[in-house]
Amino acid sequence: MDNIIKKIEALIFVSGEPISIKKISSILNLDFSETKKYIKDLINKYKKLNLGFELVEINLSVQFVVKSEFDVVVDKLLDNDKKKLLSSSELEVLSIIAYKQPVTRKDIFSIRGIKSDRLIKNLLELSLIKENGYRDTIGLPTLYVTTDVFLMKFGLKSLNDLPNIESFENKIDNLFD
Amino acid sequence: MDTFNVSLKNFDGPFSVMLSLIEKHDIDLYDIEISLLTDQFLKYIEENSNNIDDISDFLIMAAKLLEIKSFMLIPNKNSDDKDIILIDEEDPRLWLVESLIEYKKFKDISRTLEPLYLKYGGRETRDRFVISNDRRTKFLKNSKSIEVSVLADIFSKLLFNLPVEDNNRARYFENFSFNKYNVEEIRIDILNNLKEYKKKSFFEIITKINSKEYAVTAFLAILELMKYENVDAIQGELYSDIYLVFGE
Repeated sequence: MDNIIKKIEALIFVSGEPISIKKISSILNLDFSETKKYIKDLINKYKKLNLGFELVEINLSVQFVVKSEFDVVVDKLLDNDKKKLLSSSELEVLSIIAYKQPVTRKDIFSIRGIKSDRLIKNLLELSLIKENGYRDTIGLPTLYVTTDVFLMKFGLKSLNDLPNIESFENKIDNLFD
Repeated sequence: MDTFNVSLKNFDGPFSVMLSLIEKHDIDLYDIEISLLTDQFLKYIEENSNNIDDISDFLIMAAKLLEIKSFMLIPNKNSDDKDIILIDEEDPRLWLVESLIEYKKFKDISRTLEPLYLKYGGRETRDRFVISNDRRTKFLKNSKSIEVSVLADIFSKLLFNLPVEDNNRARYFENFSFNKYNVEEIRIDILNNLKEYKKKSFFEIITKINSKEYAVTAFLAILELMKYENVDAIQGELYSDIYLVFGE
């Protein structure tokens, strides 16, 4: 059993980019739920070891990621001068895309009441969102969706992990009662 | 003289401004005093016209407020008391209230997501290191017309960021001087040579002059010949020398 975990570890390490649990299970001839269990153990193992990086599961794929607190030193290696903080407006646009995806620029406009083109461009550059086809309507507007990078950078396993939107609706009702 | 005005709010949309006005003037969201809101909103636009990024969006919203205000002046047929206007489908403010609530929902959500980003946003992965995003965007920004020097710069950056064992490859280019040879001249030279001999060793051509710069330039020239002239490259067997052939 220990050997299987090490095999899984080797596959994740060498792939660098996210490797799907499905792929791991097919390479090792394991069934899916079994593989998932091993990966869960592996994730916990790294959590306990408390290293500079950790293993995360995103959209049924796994990947080693450098812990957030080391971004300053990692940026030096990556020669990264890109700004990372998101403005409140960028976060607004990102929230709209996350909950309403796929959305067009016009959908975002009707919620915010203002054009958000520049904010969308910034989010695209940060790989937090991506274009995903177009809506079959006049003008064929581009559709936007969130990416796996978005999930990773917000500590989410999948979109189901997003805070429940209904709790916000109730909160607003209470606010104005 | 204009005062230097830094506004962090200049990306805020009209709904955001309206919500803060509603809060500031203690307006009931479900029974909006439309004339007060309209006046305050117009005042805001006037005072901040230099800071607002997209003023047209604000003016459209102002026009909508004025439209709602004018509808409100028409007596409500369903009610004897014109001071009491219940929100129903007839209420001209319904669209506004719904829009504000919808906007507020996402504003609240974004505030919940913010701490998550502050906690996890610095995460990096190995695949982003191999060709970091940053380098890719720099490249794309210049892609309208790529100067050879830009390509060379990106190329050498990539080389110098290779793992240690690949550094030999990087060193190979350390003393590389550009523009030493001319592709066009070498191309004509090779072509004339081929026309005369019909067949020539690739290795011989490339090493005619013992220099890296010549080898690279000659290689480019050969590629061009294969594309635009009647020149073919043939190889007898794997790892054997390649021959360039003219005509057939």
